[in-house]
Amino acid sequence: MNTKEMRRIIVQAAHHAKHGHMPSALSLVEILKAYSEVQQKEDEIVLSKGHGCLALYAMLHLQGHVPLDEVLNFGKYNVKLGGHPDRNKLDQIYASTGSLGHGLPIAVGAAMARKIQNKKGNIFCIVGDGEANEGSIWESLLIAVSNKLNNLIVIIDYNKSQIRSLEPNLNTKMFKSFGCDVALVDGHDVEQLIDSMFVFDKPKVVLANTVKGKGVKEIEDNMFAWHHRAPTDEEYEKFIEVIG
Amino acid sequence: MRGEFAKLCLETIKNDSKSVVMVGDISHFLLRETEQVAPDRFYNIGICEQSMVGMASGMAIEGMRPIIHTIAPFLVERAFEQIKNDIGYQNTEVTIVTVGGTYDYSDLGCTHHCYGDIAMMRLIPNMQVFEPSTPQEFRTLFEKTWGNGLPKYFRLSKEQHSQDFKVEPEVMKVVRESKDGRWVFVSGHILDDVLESPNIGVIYVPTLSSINKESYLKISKIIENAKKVYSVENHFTIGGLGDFVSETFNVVVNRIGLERKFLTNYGNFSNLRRDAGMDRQSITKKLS
Repeated sequence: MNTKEMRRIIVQAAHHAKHGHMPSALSLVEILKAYSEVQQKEDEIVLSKGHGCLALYAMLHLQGHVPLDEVLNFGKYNVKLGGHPDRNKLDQIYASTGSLGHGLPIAVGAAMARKIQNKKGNIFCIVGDGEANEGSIWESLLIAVSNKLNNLIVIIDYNKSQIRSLEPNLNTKMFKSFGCDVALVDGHDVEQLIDSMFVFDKPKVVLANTVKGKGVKEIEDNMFAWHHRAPTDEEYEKFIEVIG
Repeated sequence: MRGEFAKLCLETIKNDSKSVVMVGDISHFLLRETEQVAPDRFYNIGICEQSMVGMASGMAIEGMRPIIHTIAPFLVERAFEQIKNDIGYQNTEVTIVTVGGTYDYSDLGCTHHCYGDIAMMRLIPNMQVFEPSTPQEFRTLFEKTWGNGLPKYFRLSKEQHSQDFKVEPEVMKVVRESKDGRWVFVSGHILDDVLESPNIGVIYVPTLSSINKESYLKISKIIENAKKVYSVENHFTIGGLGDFVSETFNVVVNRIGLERKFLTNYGNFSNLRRDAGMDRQSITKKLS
């Protein structure tokens, strides 16, 4: 799976469908690339920040689960892939997300169910820094620690999108004090991400420093303007060229 | 009712290895035997209702059948969006059991009242909504729907009625024929109070989300020529039994229930029933 190709699909889909949260998806690309590298048959991933779904759809396409046409037409009437992921429309989508702060509790419940049933496989969950404003993220993390869920890997896509409102000031100390194992990584360095995606005896938090809109400078520099905007034909051509 | 809940939890946890019980820091002592029998499938999850709902959904996605339990306002009202998205929309088989509907916790004030739980749960597509009013009714409805793959809500009231008849999920029960052409639909323990009104026909409704075809046809025929149709519910008149009857049979329903206001007095259950105009005397007067 090629990260440039994932970025091209994200931009192409937003352009084709004329909508989409491009910057939130672009920051996730290396995280999902790394996940696809370490993913075992039994592993599952919950995209708690569901609005970053274009990156997930790009990954699912490159893994052969959905045709490109489906991704490009996401959010159109009567298709499988929506503006947020829906688990009841595609088997490879593990949980339906969209409203923030819901995915991590679901992931914690799933990890707990696997412990109870002695089932193999880790549950991965991608949480945004904006989402870390939600109390349910911290509640469920506490529950995960309390129940020693050593099959849960939470990746924080720390793309600093929350600097305009309630900046959560996320740091490793915070998560350590909760009782998690913590790794601080460059969220665009696939090797670092891969090295962090393991779990030992307690829930793991991977604090991944990322850039919202990564890979397209114009979007990186204007992340709020681009939060939910589709590129024009001209912008699309330019962005594809920039991505390379 | 809580005793029956404890028995059902214990039996379910013994008989279904996929079952798991989570409570939001209440009923821990009540359910101690369940915990003793299956400590790996009983969790006092803490005071974090929204996470408990999401977790239950994740467990159900993994093939388990969770029962989650706490006081109605803290689950239904506080975690409403989680119930909508994580249970209703995902369509996961999670069983929600609450106590403290309406003003069961009368002396604890309005934070602990919940006048609209039935309406709120009826708003969630896929959710089956039940109000059993005797331990036997609860057992029947619980056992007959366990494992049906659907999200379920059970409101357990502190009070119960004293009638002895059998109930079925999605079936309305004709308790008494009408002598004057008027019919009243009733849910909950106030069935006893409604039966004090002479002559009026009485239909008891323990499932508030749906009705099966056979029951629908039977009740439709019965009320076809009704002179007047009433509903009586210990719940807001908005969104509950009255609306269910009206939308199901396309009839005008004279709704008797709680007005849209907070009951700010304390005292016991009877005190607040009187304040709400839902004591026996008031109900009888409204049905006369």
